[in-house]
Amino acid sequence: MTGFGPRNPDRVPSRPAAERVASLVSGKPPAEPVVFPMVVADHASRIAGYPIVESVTQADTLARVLYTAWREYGYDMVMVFTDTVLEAEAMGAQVVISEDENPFLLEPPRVEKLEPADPDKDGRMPVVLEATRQLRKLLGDDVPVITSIKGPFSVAAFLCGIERFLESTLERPDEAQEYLRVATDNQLRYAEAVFRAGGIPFVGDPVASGSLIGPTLFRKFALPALAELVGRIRGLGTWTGVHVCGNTVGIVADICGSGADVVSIEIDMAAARREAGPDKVLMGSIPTSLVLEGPADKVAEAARENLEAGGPNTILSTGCDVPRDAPPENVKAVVEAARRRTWR
Amino acid sequence: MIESMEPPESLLAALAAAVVGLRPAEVGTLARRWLDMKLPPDQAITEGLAQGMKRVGEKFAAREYFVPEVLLASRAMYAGFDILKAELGSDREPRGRVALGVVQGDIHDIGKNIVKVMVQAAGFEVVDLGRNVSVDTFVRAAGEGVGVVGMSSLMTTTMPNMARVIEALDKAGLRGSTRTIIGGAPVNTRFCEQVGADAWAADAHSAVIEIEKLAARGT
Repeated sequence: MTGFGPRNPDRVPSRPAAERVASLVSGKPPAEPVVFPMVVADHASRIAGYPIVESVTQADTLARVLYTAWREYGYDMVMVFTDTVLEAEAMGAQVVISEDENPFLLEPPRVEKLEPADPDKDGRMPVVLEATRQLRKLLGDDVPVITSIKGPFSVAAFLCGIERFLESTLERPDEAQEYLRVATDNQLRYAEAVFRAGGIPFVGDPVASGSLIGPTLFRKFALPALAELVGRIRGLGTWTGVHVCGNTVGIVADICGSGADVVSIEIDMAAARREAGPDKVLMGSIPTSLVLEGPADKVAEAARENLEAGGPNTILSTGCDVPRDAPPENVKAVVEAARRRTWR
Repeated sequence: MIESMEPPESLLAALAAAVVGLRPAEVGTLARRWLDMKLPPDQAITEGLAQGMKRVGEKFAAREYFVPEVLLASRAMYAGFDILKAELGSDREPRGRVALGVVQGDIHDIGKNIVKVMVQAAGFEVVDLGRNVSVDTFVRAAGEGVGVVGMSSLMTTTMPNMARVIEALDKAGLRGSTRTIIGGAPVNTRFCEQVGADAWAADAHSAVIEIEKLAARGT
């Protein structure tokens, strides 16, 4: 099945996506920018005409919807991602999966025994791993498959219950550290399994968002665990990325300090670039609300501004997941904006 | 432990400081001391606890405090509130009744819970509808004499459910008697105008200000 190019774009880059990504993360930004609006299971299901429940529980469907969306849009990576609570579920937290909404946690989660899951057996981790393997086959070596895993801080919060966990960081730091330790161990195992399946583990840490915790707690709890995970992933011999959504003003340099090759953010690209310095590969940050609401020409304008503000060391992307119901023309506008720009 | 010599003003200041300082146990002790001195409970709520929560809201807006601090401050506020409320006469009129809920399909309720504690501290009675709240439940609450309905959504996929609630209130003929306010990370002025809500707020602090305005407008 390899060699099937994307269906749409009028301008196909001269070098394959994987080559441009490899070049970018090794410090030599390619002339043709890398673009990846963060399309994941929910939006891809809409594009491919499947209910979300099927994509988040069946590997074949997950691979098929993500592949279909990639062919439709022709961006430069495919991200395997179902929902934020997948890992906590595999460790024993109860999750509600409905027909066409993203899975969510029952609160408070009732986790009987705190221990790392077995990625090949527990919960829906095997679904993500199998979809990763299938996509690697479908896409061959030309398009990177990145598989999203959650940061230890977020997994710990989902395991403990978000409010209880956030309170414990101030009141009962030992309890917070205990959850964080087991969550980190889980993520280390899961990252290795993702890598064995042919995916590039890419870490999203939504609860470590600057909209929830401040720089002090980020540095004390979220960052050390994140850095440990990133270090292990890079030790496998691959690049990796970290995505932190929400208001991360003031902690972009810290996120860079995790050692991640790519730092993905939701804040204004110019502000993030100032904090990160010119050489860091940043990914982002077209507002998802704009991608949802449009119109397409406004999205294109934001995409162009974003790319100029970020410069050559930028992966043009959305600030967070492309919304389930975003009109396809708005997502296409992001890809086209990148295809119309060449760095000299 | 009766320290009857302590002037009420310093006790009020201590209550506020203990809320801002995130010390629930101390707030409880101070609230009990206030009642031991036979002072009016509602004064301790409005001039002690509420002042503390107001400062917490300001610190949150200024990014000095974040969600963990606000959660602890809320617990501190309730530690006093529950003690003082038990002693309030039943004739005490709240400033108004406010129903709060996270719309259907959405379970992110931290923001709603923070708004709830701030609105209660400001002297309103809050009907907490919880999370993943159906359109019908919002409409029923409005039909039961609630002056302001507050809706929260943290996801772009569930935002349209706010519009559905407002439409349903319209159909039920309740827009005259009930004001609507919306909030949550993806909500903005444009969305507020689009769905025809009476107000929106970017954070808990401004939510209280907006709800006060809506309540003052009356019906």
